[in-house]
Amino acid sequence: MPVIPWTPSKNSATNRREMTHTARPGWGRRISAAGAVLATLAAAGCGSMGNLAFTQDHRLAITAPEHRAHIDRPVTLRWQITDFRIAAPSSEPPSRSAGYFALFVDRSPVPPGETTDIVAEGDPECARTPGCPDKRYFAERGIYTTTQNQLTLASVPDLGTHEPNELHTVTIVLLDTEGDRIGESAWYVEFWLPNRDER
Amino acid sequence: MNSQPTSSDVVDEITATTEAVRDEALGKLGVVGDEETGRFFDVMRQHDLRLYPLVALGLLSVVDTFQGYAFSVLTPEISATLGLSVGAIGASVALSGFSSALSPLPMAALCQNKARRALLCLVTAFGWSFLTLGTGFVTSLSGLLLVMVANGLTSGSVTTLHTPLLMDSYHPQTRVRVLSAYAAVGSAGAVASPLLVVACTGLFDLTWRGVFVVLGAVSTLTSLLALRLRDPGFGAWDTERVRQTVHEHDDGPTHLASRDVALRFWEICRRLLLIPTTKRLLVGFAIFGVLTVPMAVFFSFFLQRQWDLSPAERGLFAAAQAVVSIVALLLYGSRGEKLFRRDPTRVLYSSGLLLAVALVSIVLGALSPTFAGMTVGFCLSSALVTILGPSIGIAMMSITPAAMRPHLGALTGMSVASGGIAGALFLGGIESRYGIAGAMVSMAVPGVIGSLVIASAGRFIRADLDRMIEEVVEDEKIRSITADGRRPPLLACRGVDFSYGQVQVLHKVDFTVDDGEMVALLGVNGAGKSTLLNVISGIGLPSQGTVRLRGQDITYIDAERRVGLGITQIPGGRAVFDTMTVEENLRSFGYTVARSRRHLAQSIDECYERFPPLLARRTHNAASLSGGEQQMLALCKALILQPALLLIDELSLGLAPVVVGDLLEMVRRINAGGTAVVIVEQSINVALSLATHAYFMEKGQIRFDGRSSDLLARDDLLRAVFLTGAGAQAAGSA
Repeated sequence: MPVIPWTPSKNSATNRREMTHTARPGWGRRISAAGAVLATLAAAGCGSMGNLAFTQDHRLAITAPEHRAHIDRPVTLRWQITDFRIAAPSSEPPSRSAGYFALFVDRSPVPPGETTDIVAEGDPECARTPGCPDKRYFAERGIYTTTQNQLTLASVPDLGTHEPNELHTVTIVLLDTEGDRIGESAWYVEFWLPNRDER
Repeated sequence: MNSQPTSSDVVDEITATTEAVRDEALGKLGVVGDEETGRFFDVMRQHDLRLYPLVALGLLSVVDTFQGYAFSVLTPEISATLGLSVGAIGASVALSGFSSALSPLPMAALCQNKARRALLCLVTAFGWSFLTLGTGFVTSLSGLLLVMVANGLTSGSVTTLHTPLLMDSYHPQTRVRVLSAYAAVGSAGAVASPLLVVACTGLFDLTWRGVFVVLGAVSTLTSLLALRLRDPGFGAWDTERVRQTVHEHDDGPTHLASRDVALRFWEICRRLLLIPTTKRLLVGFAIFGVLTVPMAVFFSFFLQRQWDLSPAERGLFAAAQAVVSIVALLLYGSRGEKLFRRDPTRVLYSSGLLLAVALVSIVLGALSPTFAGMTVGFCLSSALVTILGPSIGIAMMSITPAAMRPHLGALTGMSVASGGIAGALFLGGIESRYGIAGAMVSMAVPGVIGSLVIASAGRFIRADLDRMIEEVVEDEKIRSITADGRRPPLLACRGVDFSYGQVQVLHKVDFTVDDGEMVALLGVNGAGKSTLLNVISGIGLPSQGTVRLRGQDITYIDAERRVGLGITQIPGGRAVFDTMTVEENLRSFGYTVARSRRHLAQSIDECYERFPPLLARRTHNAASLSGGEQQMLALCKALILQPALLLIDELSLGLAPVVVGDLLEMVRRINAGGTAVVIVEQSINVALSLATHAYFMEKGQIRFDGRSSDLLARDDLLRAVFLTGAGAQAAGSA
């Protein structure tokens, strides 16, 4: 199976990422101080054990296309999911076990606990436009959401290389009904597409 | 026994001892001239050596690669989990590489005064073990940057300290084999790391977090196994044994205390860069970096794009390359040992050749239409490149004093890293224009240059080995002289070579000054007199030879430190700061050695007392003084600093005779106060009226060393000066 899944343990307490996230005298103190600074920084950069995924999540399996297969446009992705109830946005209170899917084409997904809106942060043009970000805005940036088990990508832009075939990546994550990414689980598939610029 | 040795006594004694012990000393450094290396384990038993340091350091070098390897393989998963862009991940990798490139410097500095290499190796090993473990708990970019940078900083101990520690832990008769075995263990890491990652993800169903936790735990356990690592001390098997040879030859005491002025960090680095073989090999290592550092990345893309290999398949390919490298290293060990033992020159010639063959293999591999051909080409190139580690390493380390080898390791690491950065830019540009295969083929260009540079270093290695032996012998002889209760000369330059770029201006200059002596240094323009003064004062550093002050080696000490040790130079022509007043000039001389305010004021008053014209013009800029007054001001430097040795260059140039007379009287008085003076003069009358001891230089060589009165009888030498002087006068009057 082409998918390489990584996910939180089933016992994770919450879906939200916590954001708390020449011998001379005096050397001992300096080293201790440096150690304390490092420890503080490390504590700030590391999360609590409960939120972190150390074993793989096999709930989702991408069935098409095959990993690293050579295919052509339009690209249709299909996947299967277990132990997760598909629910539309805002259809019920948010929980870890229900929600929908977000697909990220040739880009990293949003961080755990964040909504896709974070992509539009700092975009002044979007801020000025009523209703932005919307589906079109996200699609232009390779981000799609769906409550289905399959999706045909409207477009997969070339990567700008000079190779005849380019390797594309689609990453799927789970969103809860409020649109927040659930845990650290992410599944991705890679496939080759012809480079239209090089034809 | 307490008689003062003359300069020629000291030089002759050192030369005679060097000649007598040279072959034996070369043997102590592992160069015997035959190929009788003996069986590895027989030699180990004979010298009661253990495999533990080799195994412990080898395993540490393996676990050091864990974090970097796992990170490179698991980057997509890390990116997806944390929601970090490829750019952010790339930035953290770049910062890690940057810290890794810089980290050898503090590592070398931390052990330059004390042999604490084993301790540093252990501390850093535990450091990277915990950081590998900590990587599994990172949840943000800041955390990722922290572990990546800190991990880069700890990894400097491997490049800086491991090889020097192995050199000092094993007998010279086994070193190439030890270095080859160490490299082989390191290559085994390239097999172990993928296997561990595959086992963690495939068998134990772990995420990247779990993988880092397991790798961190394995690394911590390995570090615990290395806890018995001890530092044998600097040069236990080479430099110290060469010293012993000198004592055996002299039948003298075996343990003499060193009084040498310790070189500081950058002084050591600068000194290493003056060794011709080292200089070339560092250039070679930079080119090596151009080839190897970006090669890892580009090769991965090459396998992915050209041959459609998945990450797991690429890991298998890397493991296959590592296995071939291990076999090659094990085969090379004893052959390299024999080659080095017979003639180290051949080791470097063969290293250049190996690199050239490796390049051909890369090009053929990149262009091969078949997978088998590509595999053979890249496995062969990988094996040959791996062999370069021990072959160049033994050559570089053997010509470097043991205490400076960590610095050499640091310089080597930085050369490779800087070459890697240049290579990434170079290959990136080629790749975007000619594709990944074009980038691989283009490596031939720097590779050919690198192989020629490495091979060219072979021409210098014998001379550099001799130089190191001479330095050790000289050092020991000076210690012997001191231990006998005799006083070495105040200043002793021996065998000094100096070049301006490619133009050598000093050739094997021996120059000695005794306490309180007045010495004249004569010669025509361009003979090298001023250059010699610059070498003594530290403004210029010799490419060969030594400079000793009261027996202490100051050859590579910074010029400002020499002022503190008692050497002051008054350069010819402009010896004052033009834009500063007379008073400011005088104060600036005092600041050089941080004299107390009261003491400095007294010294300045004394200057005004000795040279009343300066008092009258104390607030005037130095540029407004006459030539004679400027020289008076310059001489005040000696009155304020009260040096043990004063170097004066062209004091009388362009001055009226009556002014010269006053200045010379002052020089006499300074000398009568106990300061030894070296005076460089074109005017033979001036020089010989002052000095009883004279040197005459011609074309960068000392042609006369003796009493001034004897020099006056040497028409063959003095005629050139007189003719030049007459010619100059004629030209001036024309």
